[in-house]
Amino acid sequence: MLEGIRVRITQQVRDEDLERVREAFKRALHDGRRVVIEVNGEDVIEAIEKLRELLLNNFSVTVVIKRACEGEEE
Amino acid sequence: MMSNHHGKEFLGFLTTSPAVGVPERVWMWICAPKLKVDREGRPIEAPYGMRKVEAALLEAGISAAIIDPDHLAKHLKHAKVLMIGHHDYFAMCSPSIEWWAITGREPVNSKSFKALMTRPEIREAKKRGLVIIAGGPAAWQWLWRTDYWREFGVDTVVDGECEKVIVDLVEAALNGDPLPAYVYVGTSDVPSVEEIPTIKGASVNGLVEIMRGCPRGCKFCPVTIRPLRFYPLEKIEKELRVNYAAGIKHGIIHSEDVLLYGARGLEPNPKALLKLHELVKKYYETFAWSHVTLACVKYSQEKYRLITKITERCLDERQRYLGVEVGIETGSVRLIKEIMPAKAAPYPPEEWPNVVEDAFAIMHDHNIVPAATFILGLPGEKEEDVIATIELIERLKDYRSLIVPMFFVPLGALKDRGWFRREMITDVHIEALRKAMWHTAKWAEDIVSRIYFRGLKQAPLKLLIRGVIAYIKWRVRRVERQLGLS
Repeated sequence: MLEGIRVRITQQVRDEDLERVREAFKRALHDGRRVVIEVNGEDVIEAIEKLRELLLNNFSVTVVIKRACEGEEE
Repeated sequence: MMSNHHGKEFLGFLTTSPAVGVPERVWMWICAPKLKVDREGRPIEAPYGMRKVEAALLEAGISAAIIDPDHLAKHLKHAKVLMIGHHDYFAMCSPSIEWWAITGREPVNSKSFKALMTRPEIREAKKRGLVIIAGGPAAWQWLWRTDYWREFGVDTVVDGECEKVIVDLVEAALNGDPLPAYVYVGTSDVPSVEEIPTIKGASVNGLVEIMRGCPRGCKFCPVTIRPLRFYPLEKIEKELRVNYAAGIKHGIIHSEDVLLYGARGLEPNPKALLKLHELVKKYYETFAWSHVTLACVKYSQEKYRLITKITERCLDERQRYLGVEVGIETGSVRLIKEIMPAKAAPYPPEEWPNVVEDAFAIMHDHNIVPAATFILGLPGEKEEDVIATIELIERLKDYRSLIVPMFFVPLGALKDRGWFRREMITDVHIEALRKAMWHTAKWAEDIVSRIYFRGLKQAPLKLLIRGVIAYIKWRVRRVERQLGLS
């Protein structure tokens, strides 16, 4: 479930976070892997709200969004 | 809301509306009566999608059961995970959104879901650490309603065919491991036919799936982005047996296009289809098709006389008609070409209005009763497109059918586009709504009186529904007078 292209982003989803998620989607489309988005922060739903447009534009890639665990390396 | 709609799937459509002409309790009894349950509150029939999830969990050795919402309380005292599914959590699908827009009142499907999620037993269980996982065909709506996501304490939303991921998620929840907040199941995680478990308990109205996916590629539809897979007859028979053993005698065979079962591309496979229908008829006294495409109705009849062959085998003294849902979508050739170019295939898109009328004529002649839908507010829609739809509905007036308008909902390859909202309704849209309303009222009276309800047992329901139709007609006439339209 949690294997795939891992992207660590902030809860506020800054522009550079969005760009990295977009890039991960492109790579995943190419190699058929999942995208695992790890959110730094308590409120993962806030990040999801900000990622909504990107998520709505995704049809083929498996996406998992979770809270980043402390101590985990990106 | 867990119901078999009195065994009349079309009545389920009424759950997408607020109560009309009768108190809400009566409306709920008409469209969503309570299901029979066992001592534990397990319904005898349960929604098919939930049955698939239940089967996946049971096969993995997890103790899981489908519980009627009214019987949740006693189980929530010790349950670790509550999994919820819904056909339209927040009434964001069509036709819920247009009934909400037209009446100004929230449909009962969404109201009853919110009432369920605010029950004290769920709140208390949540405080004790209950994990809530939401999924089902309307899972995408949580992305738009993050306010309720927070309020109801949903831990994980799973969107898509979940058979391959759900066991991992539930095991993680049972082990107390952190769960992802959101999972979208993409193509690489879609289960193969072998990976789709067989249901362990009966499904609502005996629904059994015969295939998944659709090859037509219509941009507005989410199903078309999934790979096409056919269930072998042996797998279908196993599920028919499960339903039969539970005493289910009336069923639905489910596919986006039943007539494409076993097809090579868009070329129907008459042998596979006839075998399928013979098999279904072995277990069910009566059955319905969930969906067919109108192009397939016309083509399979013209080339193979398949509609005649199937109805000759299946319609008898116990089954006088066959119900089905079909998509007209639009009367506009321009929109067909832009948004759903393969909708008319193997006929050219220019032929679409004729394909629709010919298919309706074939169905009428063979006692097949379609509930048809069309879409208002498709991206790029112009006034002349809506006029073309109105003209097409007019051409269908002599064919027994229900025609239901749908407001465009951004799904499938168009899920990033804008919604069609109440304030976007123009005079031509109103005319299309009126045309559909009067067509449906005329044929609904005929269907209710002569076909749909038989015997004394169904007489009260029949009377109530005739009363509701009469009330709706009266209300529409009043609105038409106010608008100077009659």
